Amino acid sequence: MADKINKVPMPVKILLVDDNDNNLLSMEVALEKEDYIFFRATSGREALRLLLHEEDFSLILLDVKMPIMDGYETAELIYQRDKLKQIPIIFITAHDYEEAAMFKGYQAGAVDFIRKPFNAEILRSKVAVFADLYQKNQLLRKQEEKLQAINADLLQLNKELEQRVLDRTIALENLNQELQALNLSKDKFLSVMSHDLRNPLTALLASSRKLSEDPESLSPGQVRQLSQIIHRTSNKLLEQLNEVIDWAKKQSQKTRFNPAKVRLAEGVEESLEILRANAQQKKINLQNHVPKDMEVMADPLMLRSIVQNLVTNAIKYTPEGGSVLLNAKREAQMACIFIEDSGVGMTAEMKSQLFSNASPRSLSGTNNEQGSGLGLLLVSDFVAQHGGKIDVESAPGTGTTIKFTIPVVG
Amino acid sequence: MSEKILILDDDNDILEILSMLLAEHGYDIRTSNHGETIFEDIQDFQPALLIMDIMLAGLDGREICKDIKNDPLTHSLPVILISGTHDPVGSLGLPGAPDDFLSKPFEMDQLHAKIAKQLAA
Repeated sequence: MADKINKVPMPVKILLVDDNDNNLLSMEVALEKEDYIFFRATSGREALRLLLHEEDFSLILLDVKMPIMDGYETAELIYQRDKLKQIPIIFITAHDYEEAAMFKGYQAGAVDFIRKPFNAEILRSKVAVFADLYQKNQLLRKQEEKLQAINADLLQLNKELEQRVLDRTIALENLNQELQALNLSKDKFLSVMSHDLRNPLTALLASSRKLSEDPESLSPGQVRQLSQIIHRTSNKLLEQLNEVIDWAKKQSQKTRFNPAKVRLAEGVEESLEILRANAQQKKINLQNHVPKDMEVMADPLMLRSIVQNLVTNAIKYTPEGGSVLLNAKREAQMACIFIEDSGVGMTAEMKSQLFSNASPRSLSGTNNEQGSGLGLLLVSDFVAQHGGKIDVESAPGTGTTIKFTIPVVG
Repeated sequence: MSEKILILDDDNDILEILSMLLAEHGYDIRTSNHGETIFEDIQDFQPALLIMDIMLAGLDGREICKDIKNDPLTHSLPVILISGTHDPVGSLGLPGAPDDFLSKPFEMDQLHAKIAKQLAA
């Protein structure tokens, strides 16, 4: 930016002040070869008026000896104005000017003196030095202003950054609180499941067993007592069961669909992290070949759940030494993700039952791994939430390829 | 004379069915649904065995058990702790530990066997 200013220099404006028109003219003549713009004033008062209307003077050549207001008084008035304080003044004085008077001139703010009648060469070089100096000063000032602006920008950016950090911190704290609440409610759930259900069950089992063992030996009072216990504890159990169901309902409502832009290869890699140990244990070669630049619109948690469920299955149904490969390709507006294993494969009947929720049940794996059969239901649910489809290609003995689609970005 | 068993549980249904079934077996039963007066109850009733739930409203059965085992007046009283959540067999034999554990829900036969074992000891 400084270069640009250097290449296009500001015009050098010089104010000439002398009560004698001839002197003004001879100064102009002496300086005219240079690229200066001249303004003339024949009195201190006129000089001040000019300085009020015209800005950016680089230099003032000021005659000392003028009627009404001399050069010193004029200089004093000029320098009373903040805007004019930086303009250098060269006093033009008579040849026989004494040193005490010159000192007075410096006090008034003069930067130099030129004696009359002046030597044109000296005038030119002095004017050139101060004009140059003034221009450089101006340049510096402009750069300083720019720096200040940049600094202000930085401060503003910094402030915005701090605000963003604060916002994120608050968001994280809120999330943390939600998670803690969730944890608490899970703890409560466990406590309900274990303690609150076991207590009535204990009483229920003991009394119902007593009642059914040998009813004839019991007195009517005992039968009444036992059946009352059974009735009370059954009601307690029902209450607890309703609480558990309410809790579970609330939890599932919390699972909202929050799609975001995700780098597929990275998302897949993160999902595979915790499964690598499983694969290693079965000496299964687990590889992620998803193209690095592919981006999808997906709920990151759901995507993770989909990938982990499908890869866990692939590992489960692949014998030791086999392989599980992940890849993806674009199909119109969707990314199609493949999970290909060299496992035991499936019959047509198994395939048709795979995603039907009529009978969520699980086959044991090649190392007799067990599952609930609910994983695939969740997976097809999550894929459907993304507007995608899930499909399977498999035959017994040839391995299985599961394909699912989610929206691609770009 | 029948042997005395003190039962401590905050669930009144459990107290009711246990005292009914154990009384039928010939034991002399007293129940309490809180642990606050346990030492007075022991002093007063002089039981041969204490059956106690781990989770008592506001109190921890394991702490009460430790107090009983650390008190010279009561430390020889056998204690069977009943747990609603887990089977803390691992802590058996430690100082202040109960003499036996049982987790809910249990079969009465199990309880009878454990009671007999403690009373025979």
